[in-house]
Amino acid sequence: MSDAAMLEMAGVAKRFGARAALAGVDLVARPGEVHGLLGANGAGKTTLLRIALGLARCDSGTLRLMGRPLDWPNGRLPDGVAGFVEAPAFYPYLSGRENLSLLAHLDRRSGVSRVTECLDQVGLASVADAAVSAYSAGMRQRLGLAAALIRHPALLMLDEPTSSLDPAGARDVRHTIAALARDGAAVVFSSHDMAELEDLCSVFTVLHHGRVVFSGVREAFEAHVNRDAYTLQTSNDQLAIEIARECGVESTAPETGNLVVHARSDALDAYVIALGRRGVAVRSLSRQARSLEASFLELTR
Amino acid sequence: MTARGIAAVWRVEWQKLLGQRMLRALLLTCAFGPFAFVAVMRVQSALPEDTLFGRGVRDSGFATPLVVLGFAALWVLPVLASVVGGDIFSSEDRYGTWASILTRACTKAEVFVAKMLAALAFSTLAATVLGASSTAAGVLGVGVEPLVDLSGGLLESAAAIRLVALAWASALPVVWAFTALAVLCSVTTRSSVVGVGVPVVAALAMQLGSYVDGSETLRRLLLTSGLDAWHGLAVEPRYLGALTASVVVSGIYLLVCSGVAYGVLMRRDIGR
Repeated sequence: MSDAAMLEMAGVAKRFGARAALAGVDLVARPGEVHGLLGANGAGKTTLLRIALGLARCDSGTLRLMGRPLDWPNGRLPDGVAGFVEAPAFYPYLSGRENLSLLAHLDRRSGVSRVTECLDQVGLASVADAAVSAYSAGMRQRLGLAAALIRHPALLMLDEPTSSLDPAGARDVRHTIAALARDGAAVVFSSHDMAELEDLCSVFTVLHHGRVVFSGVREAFEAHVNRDAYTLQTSNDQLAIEIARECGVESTAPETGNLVVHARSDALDAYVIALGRRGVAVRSLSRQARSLEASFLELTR
Repeated sequence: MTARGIAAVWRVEWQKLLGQRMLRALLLTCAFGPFAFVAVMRVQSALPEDTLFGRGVRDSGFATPLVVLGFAALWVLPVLASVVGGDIFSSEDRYGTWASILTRACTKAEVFVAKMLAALAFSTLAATVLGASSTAAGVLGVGVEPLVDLSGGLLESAAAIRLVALAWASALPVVWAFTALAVLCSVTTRSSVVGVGVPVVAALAMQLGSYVDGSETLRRLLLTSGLDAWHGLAVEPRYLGALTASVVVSGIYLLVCSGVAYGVLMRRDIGR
């Protein structure tokens, strides 16, 4: 593991009764990178973030935050580590500003200006003095981000930070995350919005039933799951499927009509030549662009 | 765990407590309720004669705080003890704010100690306000005439005020023990209804239990027995055995309840 890593988890396991929520998970987040955490509901993303934020203990494995092990349950979250899991929650009878001010006191940062600055950064300045009970779910999510920003995060961990936001609000949050990463912070965040992850993340960890099924940079992720896929139009699809089987090329015939074949370029060349020899005309052949979503679904199938 | 960390959480807890209208209203009731009691006693013909010092509420202002203490011992003091203690931990579950406060620069142990101290301080404050306002209401509404003690002797103002102060002070260890019981209920059940309700119901059950024939030792193990222990200060010669027992029993309740609550909170995963 690198000394520069902001978050290092090795072999982290957590069970809830008979169910393994996490089974030997490794995860490393480095400065300047936005690390996407993918997984279906129940895959273990929130549990992972909970452990990383010191809210829950792991049954086995090690956790280091900014190079230091976190002593559970007596440990203090290091300065510069911030985040939230699930929907961030606040005292409803206090205003947004009062809530942030209390949290700043717990951080022993009593600066009013920092509270105002963070409220402004997440677009809540105009409602800062209204009681949180009147806030929408999206406004609470923004307030949660502001509460994290007060800690000047060098490692920011967010659990579905845009799930309740309108498109403009989600865009603002993405800008904030990207800006933090540009300034050198490591950001780990989970989301079900594949377009958002695709837009922001340079590194991915994919969890499936508590296990890491992929972890690495974006290009490696795409290479890992993206066996080349092509859309094919022929003069005789039935025969083309038969020839594909003979050539050892995987092919499918979706209801849309066109064939889809999965093959590396050398196998594809041999397949196309075989089609010609057997009198099947190739009318079009185009490479399919695969979305992150398709890759994710393939990986967790 | 550091004193600085505990102090930071303590300040935040007080800001939260004072931000709650219900608690401000409770303190105001403690402050002004006794004045209403004195006003009613002055205009009505009957006196609370079946209560200790009830006969003297129109003769000496020092009788008022002792009558109020006798009444408060039934359920008011357990309520004052548990209203914050029974809610201060479980409210974080109700609002879902554990994760918000535990992802700051304070440890779980600091949060526990500061919340426990805040609960104890609030119950002390509420009981003190009630005692002080009862005394003020009696003195201002009735006067500072000598008080007839339980042996029939006359206590001059200085002795009477000393008796009042000691009587109310003797209730504090019991109040703290009920606060610790409320904290334990609040931490273990994560429910404010249970946290506030169980100590009050327990107090009523203990009072009923004290009427049942049984050994004196068992009776002294009941927390509510300590709320009557001050009677030994109002007789000649003074009897301090019940007071000593009350302090010891309350101390045991306080230590055991807060120790168990601490263990439960420290082992708990937040969010499940």
